[in-house]
Amino acid sequence: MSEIPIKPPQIPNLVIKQITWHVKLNEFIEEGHDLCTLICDVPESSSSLLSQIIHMPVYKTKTFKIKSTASGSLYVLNSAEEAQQTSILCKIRQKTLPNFSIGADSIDKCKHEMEFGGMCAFCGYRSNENEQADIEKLHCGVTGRNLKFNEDLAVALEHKKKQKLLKEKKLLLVLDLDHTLLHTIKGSSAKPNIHQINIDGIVFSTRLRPHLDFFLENLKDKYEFFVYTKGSRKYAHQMMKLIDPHKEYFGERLISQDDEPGESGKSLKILLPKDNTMVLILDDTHEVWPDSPNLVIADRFWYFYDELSDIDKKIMGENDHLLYFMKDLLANIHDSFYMQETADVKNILKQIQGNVLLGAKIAFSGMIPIDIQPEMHPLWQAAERYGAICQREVTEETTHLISDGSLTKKFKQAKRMNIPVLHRTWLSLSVSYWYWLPESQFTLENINNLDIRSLLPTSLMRQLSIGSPVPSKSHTSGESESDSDSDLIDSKSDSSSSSNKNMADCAREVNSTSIDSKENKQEKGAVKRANASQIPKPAKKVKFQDNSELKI
Amino acid sequence: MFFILSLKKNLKLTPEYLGKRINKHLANLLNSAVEGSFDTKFGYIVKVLKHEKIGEGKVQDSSGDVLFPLLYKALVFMPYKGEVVDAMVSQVMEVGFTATLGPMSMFVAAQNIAADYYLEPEARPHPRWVNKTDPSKTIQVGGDVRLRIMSVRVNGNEMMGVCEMSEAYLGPITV
Repeated sequence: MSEIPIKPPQIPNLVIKQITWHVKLNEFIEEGHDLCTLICDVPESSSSLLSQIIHMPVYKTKTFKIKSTASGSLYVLNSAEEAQQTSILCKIRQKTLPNFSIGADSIDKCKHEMEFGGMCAFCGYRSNENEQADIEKLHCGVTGRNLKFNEDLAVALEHKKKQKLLKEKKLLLVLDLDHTLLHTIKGSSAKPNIHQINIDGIVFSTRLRPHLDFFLENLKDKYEFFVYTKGSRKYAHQMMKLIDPHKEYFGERLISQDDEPGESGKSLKILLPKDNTMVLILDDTHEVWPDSPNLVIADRFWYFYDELSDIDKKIMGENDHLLYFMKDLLANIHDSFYMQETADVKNILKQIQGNVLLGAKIAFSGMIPIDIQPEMHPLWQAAERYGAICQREVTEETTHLISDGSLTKKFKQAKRMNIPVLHRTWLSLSVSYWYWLPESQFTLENINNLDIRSLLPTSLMRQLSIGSPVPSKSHTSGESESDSDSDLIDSKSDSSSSSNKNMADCAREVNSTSIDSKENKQEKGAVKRANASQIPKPAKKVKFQDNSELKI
Repeated sequence: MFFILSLKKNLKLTPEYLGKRINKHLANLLNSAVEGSFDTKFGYIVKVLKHEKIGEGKVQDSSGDVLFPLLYKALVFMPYKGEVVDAMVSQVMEVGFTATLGPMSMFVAAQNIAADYYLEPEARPHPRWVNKTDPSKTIQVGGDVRLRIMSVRVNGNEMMGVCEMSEAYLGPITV
C-alpha cells in the first residue's frame, strides 16, 4: 500500500494563506478530483520594477485549484500552517487490495460495504443484530442469497449492469417457471411430449410450453433472461436443465425460493435495487408482483388438466401459442426502447397495451350478468385496458359483438347490421396474446372449428407438428398437413440452427410498430375496423409480412 | 477443523418407549436429533461416536414424558478464523465467488482474490476467474480451491464463512 502526498504548487517562497477543502477525511477520491482551493501569496518575479525599487520581494495573492493526482482514500488533511511547514497538503492512500490481516486494525478501516450472511465480505467483521438493523443492505443481481451490499455499492453495481446492457442493446426479462414456461405435476403421466424427472425420490412430470425454444432463441439477442421462481432451488435447477441444457440462455441467472426465504411475494429489488426502466417480467400471477408496472401477465399454461371445455382444448395445453405472440411483443418493446433517447419500458408497455385493440368498439350480449355494472366486469375492463371502447348498446359504430349465442335483442340487431358476432374467446385471447386476432375463426359459426395454429407461419406449424403429432382434423389446411410428412425427414437432418433461421424469416408483425403518432393510430384503427366489417373472411387475409411463405 | 467433544443433550421420551428397549430408543433418538445439526458454540455435529452416560430421567408433570440428560462423544466440524481449508467452488460472480465445504458455504470477495486473477464473465458454461500468468489456474464452478477463513458464523441451521485467497499457496488446486 502506497501513500501519495499531494503538494502545493512548486513556487519558491510561496506563502499559503488559506485552504478550502472540498473533500472530507477518509473520503474515496478518483484521480483528477477537485481537492481544495488554495489562496497563496506568490512572490512577483524579482525583476519587477517595484521590487527593485523597494529591495524587497513583492507578493501577489493568487488562487490555485488543486486536483488529485491519484485515486484512493484521503487520510491526512493539513491546515494552512501545517501545509506551509511540511509543504504537503494531504496524503492519499492508494486503493489497492485492502489489508486482510484479521485483526482489529483492518476492521476499523473497512466500511463493510458488502455483507455475506451477517459478516463483512471484505474483512470478516461480524456485525451484531443491532447494527444490522441500522443500515439497510440491498441485493443486486443474482449473487447468492446471503450477499448484500450497502446502498452505494448496490447502486454502483446496478449502474454498471445498466451500462453493460445499453452497450449490448439488451433489456432484462424476468421469467417465471410454473405455468409460464412449463407445467409440472407430481407423479407420472401418460401424456405425450413430457419429461419425467426425479427429485429426492419423487417423480415429477413436466411439459415445456409450446414455442419455448423459439421464444428464447429469437429473443436471446434482445434480452438477458432471468428465471425467478417460488420453487426450491433443486427443482428450479432440474427445470433449467430441461429448458436450457447448454446454459446458453440463462447461464446462472436463477432466483429461487431459497434465495429469499420467508418472502411471499416477488420483488425486482432483489435484481435491481433502484431502477426498473429496463426490465420486464413475464409471469402468470400478478398477485406476487404487487403493483409492478413492468409485469406482462401470461395466461396460465395448463397441460396436465383434463377437464377442459371443447373451446379451451383448442387454445390450451398443446395448442397454447402464447410464447409465440409474446416473442413479437417483447421484440417490439425492445426495438421501441432503443429507438427512443430516454426510454422507460413501463411507458412503452402502457402505450403498446393501449394500442392492441385500438379502434374496436365492442358490445356484449349475454356475457355480463344483469345484476352487476357492466363497467365492472373483467372482460369489459380488460377490453378497455387494451384500447377498445366498450358499449352498452349496439350502435352504428359498433365493430364487434361478443355473444354467447343466445338470441337477444343485441344479437339480432348485430345480425341485421352485419356486425360480426364473436365468441368471447376472441377477446380473451386477443388480450392475452396482445394481438388483434383475425375475427374470421371466432365467429359463433366457426368457433367449433377454431385452429389457432393456422395463424402461425407455416414453418413454425410444421415444427410443432413434428414436435407433437397433431390430431388430424378435417379443417386444418390441406397443404400444411400433407407437407409435414416430407418435412419430417428434412428437418431431422437439418441442424436446429437452420430451422430457427427459417422461423426468424417468418417473423411477423404484431401490433405493427408500437409507438406511432396519433394520426397513425387513428388510421390503423380505421383499417382494422374496415377489416373487421368484412367478416367472414378467409384466414389467408391475416396480415403477414412475409407473404410468400404464408399464402395458403 | 474436526474435534471430538463430549456434549450433553436433554431428550424427551414419550411414555410408550418406557420399556426394555429404552436405551436403544434413546440412542436412536439422540443420533437423529443431533447428527447433522448445528450448534452455535461447537459447530456442525458430524457423527455421534459414543454414548457415554444416560442420566436419571425426570417425569414431566403435565404430559408424562420423561426427560433424560444424555452425555455423548461426537465428531464436530468447526472451522476457525485463520484456518486454511480446501473447498469446492459453487458459484462465480462479478463480485467474487462462493464455495462450499461440507455444510459450510463460503464467500470470497473479488477484492480478496489475489490481484493476478481476472474475471472472464462470458466464459461458458459459467463465468470464471483466470490467473494472468498461468491461464491453467482457473476458479470455476466445480473446481477446488484453497482458502483462508477470515470469519465464520452459524445462523440457525446454516454455517457461513468469509474467506480470502490473496496469499501465496492459496488458490485453485488440483487434487
